[in-house]
Amino acid sequence: MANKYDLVIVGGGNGGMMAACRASMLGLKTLVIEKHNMVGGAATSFVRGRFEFEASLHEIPDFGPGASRGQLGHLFDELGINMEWLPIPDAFRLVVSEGAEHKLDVTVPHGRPEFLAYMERQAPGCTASLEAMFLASAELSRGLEYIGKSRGKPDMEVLKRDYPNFMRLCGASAADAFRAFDMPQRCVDILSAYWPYQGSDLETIDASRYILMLDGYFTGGAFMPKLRSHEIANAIQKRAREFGCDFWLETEVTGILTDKGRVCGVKTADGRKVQATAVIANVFPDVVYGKLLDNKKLIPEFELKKVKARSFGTRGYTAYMGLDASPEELGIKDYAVFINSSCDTTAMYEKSKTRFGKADGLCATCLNIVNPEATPKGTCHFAITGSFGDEAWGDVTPENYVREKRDYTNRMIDRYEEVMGVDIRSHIEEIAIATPITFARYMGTPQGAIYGYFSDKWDGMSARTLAGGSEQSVPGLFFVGAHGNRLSGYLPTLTGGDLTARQVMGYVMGGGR
Amino acid sequence: MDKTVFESYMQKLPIEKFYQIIPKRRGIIEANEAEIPRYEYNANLVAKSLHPEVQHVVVTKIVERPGAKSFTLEPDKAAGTEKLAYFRAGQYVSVELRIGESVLTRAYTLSCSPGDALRGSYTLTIKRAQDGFASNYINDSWQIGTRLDISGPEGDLNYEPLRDAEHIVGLAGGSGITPFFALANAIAEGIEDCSLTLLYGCRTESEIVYREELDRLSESCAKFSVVYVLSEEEKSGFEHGFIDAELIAKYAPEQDYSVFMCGPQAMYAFADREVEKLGLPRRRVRHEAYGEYHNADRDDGFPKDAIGKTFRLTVELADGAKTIPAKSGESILVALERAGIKAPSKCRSGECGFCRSRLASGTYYVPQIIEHRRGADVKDGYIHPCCSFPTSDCRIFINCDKGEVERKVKDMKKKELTISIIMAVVISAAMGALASFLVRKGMNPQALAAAPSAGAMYAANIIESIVVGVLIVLILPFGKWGRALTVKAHAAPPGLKFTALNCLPISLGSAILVSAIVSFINIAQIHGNIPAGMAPPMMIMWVGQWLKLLPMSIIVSYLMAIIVSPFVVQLVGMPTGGPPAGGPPQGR
Repeated sequence: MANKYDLVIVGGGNGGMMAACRASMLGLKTLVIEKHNMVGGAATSFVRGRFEFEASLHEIPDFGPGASRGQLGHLFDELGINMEWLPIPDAFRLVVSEGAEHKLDVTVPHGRPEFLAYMERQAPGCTASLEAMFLASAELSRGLEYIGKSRGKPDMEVLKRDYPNFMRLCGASAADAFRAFDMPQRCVDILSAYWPYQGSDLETIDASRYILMLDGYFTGGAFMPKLRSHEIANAIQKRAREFGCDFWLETEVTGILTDKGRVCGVKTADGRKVQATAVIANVFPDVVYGKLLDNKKLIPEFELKKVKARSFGTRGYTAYMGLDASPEELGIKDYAVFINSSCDTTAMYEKSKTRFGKADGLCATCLNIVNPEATPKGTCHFAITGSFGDEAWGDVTPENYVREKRDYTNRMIDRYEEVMGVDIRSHIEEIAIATPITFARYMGTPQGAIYGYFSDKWDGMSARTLAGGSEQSVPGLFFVGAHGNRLSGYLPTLTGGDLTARQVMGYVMGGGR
Repeated sequence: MDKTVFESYMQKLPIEKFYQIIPKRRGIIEANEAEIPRYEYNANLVAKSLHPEVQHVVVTKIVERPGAKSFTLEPDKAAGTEKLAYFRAGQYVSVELRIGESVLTRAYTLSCSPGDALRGSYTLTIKRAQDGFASNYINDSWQIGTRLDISGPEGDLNYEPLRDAEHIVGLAGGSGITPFFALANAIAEGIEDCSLTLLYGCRTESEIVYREELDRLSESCAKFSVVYVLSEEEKSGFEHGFIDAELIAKYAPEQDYSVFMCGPQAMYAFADREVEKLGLPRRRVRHEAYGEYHNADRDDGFPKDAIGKTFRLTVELADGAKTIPAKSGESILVALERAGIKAPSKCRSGECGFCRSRLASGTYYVPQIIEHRRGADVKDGYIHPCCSFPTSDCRIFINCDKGEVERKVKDMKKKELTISIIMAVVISAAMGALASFLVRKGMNPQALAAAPSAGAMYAANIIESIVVGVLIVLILPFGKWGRALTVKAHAAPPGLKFTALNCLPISLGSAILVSAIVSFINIAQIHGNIPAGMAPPMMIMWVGQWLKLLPMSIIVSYLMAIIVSPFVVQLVGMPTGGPPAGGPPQGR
């Protein structure tokens, strides 16, 4: 096999795989090099005993039928990626309680009319503010579409004339926007349930990012793959392969090579070299610039300063449990429950910076509510996820690691049992615990960060999108993944990978200029 | 919602903030130092320490035991391993072996306290199995100084208080003693916090491995006790027979307990039936990984027509493909190893997933007891070769996958040049012909008579034009200018707007320059034929002729370019942005 390609993709995560699919479809000779024995990155599952555990995916929007089908659904259709998706019955249940007593306990439905009706009952008078929110979402979509069409270089006059509301929303945080809509506090409290999905509090997270996410979920609903996110990885790989993409697995890229000031290929741990016009890195810039790139002098100063200025987003933590009783027997009714001690997302985010103290900011899921066949009859797939806003596991050692993760998991289970009144402990047949160390192992991200870079006020979706075209790295080097411009999560990284592949097409077709 | 109400909300969000977004971002970024970033933090280092890709070790001590040897392994610092990975009592490592032509692995339990890893050593106790391919080789040939590559620690047969009872009743058969030996030592050292009652089954007293050590541990450690169960001998101080329900019940504690089992496969079948009699819930019974599955073709579920057959296995590797024999009674992994192909494997029992590979075609059998694949893998044709047995010719991908449609690297510069040259030839030829036509049309009958024949003139003009046209295209970067135009106008291929803009520089440039030179040549000839003194200055004639030629040249050249360019592009094989012809059907 000749080692000459148009495009090499380093890392086969969600971003890398979609890029591989689109690039191959466009006719680029593409090679994915993945250091693990299979592609997928976060999109995977693992088996323990008689349970197959979903590694990362909680829910994904856009796969509804007809008018409710969103961008990602259409993208999968266009690329011919076919899978079975199961609908999630509710948006979420949110329980806010300090001890066992519930200060707030709501179960929010999907579907705009149902959602609005429910919210009006829960927070009387909020309908106007929510309608405003949905209108704002439409304005944001229109504005982003224009930014996309203008290839990152919008005409200021056109923006002011045709997209003034988009401009206003870009400059606001989610909390700013909710205040502008005169949203009743109880309504804000309910909508703030999703803060762990962003890893940022409502005063900091962009209105653009948060409102688009809420609209996606509340209007179109959310879904889970029938056979875990592993099925997504398989399906995208299949299509990419059908379009002509090659894969090297169990192979680590140890260098990104340059020549005459631009990328010219990669080298691997086993000494192989691949020539390529373009390289897409499904790897953090920190790793690319710090470790992989052979000529560090080519990195624009601005890019190095940018990495220095940024901090990492959420570090992941999930305890996966195979329970030997059905949800009915256990008394579990909900797919996903958010459990917080307070509605103050700023305080909650601060709390998430440490792993000591009472476990808080949790999301507990029971997959069998969505997929009754997820596990054998009389058992269920149960997981509790936490998130860390800082390097909270920076002091663990190989020797105390098992004790520390067991300790935190105990506190997570304590908290869940206290709030939900459900006995989990007596039914644990299988348990696996993924900490930031685990994510560091499998995803290779610094600190086990799973959300890319922290969405700070100066570095949120609005800022990254508007800056997008003008912040270039080494010619021929492109990035996909949670650290990208669309931020983290399945939807942004999958659509982002597709977009980047098209940019690479332009670059390669331009003769690598 | 009323539009005015919505607008009133929007007015509360100041539009000025928008203009600050980029400056603020830039300001914060520029205030930082341009440093090469750090990319490894504590989480990454701990992950590397606990889960190294490979550990290079050297044998430093060998202890003879009944029917087995204990090998002490220490880090091979010269080969690059400084420290051994810490592990949980009950875990194993996968050892890479090269025996004759075969490249293979074997999983061996770390038969020592995890504390030993911190103190710089592992111990593997490897029993000589009758007809055992690897175990005999190891017992015969490993010496002090033997260097090995092993994996990081793996496996789930360890004590986890979140899941297991505090008191473990261990059932050990033969070489299955090793994880319990590790656990007993871990308990004695205070690393594990459980109690262990070990029921250790052997055929005879002389076969007991670790006899002295177990007795000592049981005496000194209150949380550990051992009972030897001899199947072929009756002696006082020993239990006789097999480890059955009655025996377990006799030694198990009153309160909640977990049963852990490790031993030969026959033992699992027997012990599972016995444990069921005790009425323990499934979560209270755990097994070591099943181990290598033998004689799968004797299973009831094995297709009868595949028994005793040897099939052809095509193995796709990143750098080529091989076809090797694969016996139906042996796993696909074993077939690969016999052929000297290094395929990934660890547990060799179907459960770790490390050997997972895509079977592109063929049928196979997986014994139910070692079927641990992910649902999507079963559906999408991925197998665990360590526990899959071929029942037809097969094709498998190892550590790679390959595109099903051929893709060629785009040598854009060469292609662009080729296209430019072809376009130049076509356009120039057209202009040469046009020039001939117009010049002849403009000649008076006298000049026409003196001029060369139509055929000669056309031929000459066309050839001259082509030469000039190609030279011009080689010198001037029309492609670059065309591309710049399309980018500025936001035009993307394919599409009329893109083609129209892209072709503008080449057609305009060619038209102007080719017509200038061709008309010069023509005028020079004509001028030469006119008697001196009767002709106007050549310059004037030339420019006049050129200007006459120019409008039509531009039109003809531009039209030709637009019409011809899609065909030329297709011919040269430049992707225009859609899926190439001949690709797989969409939306399957």
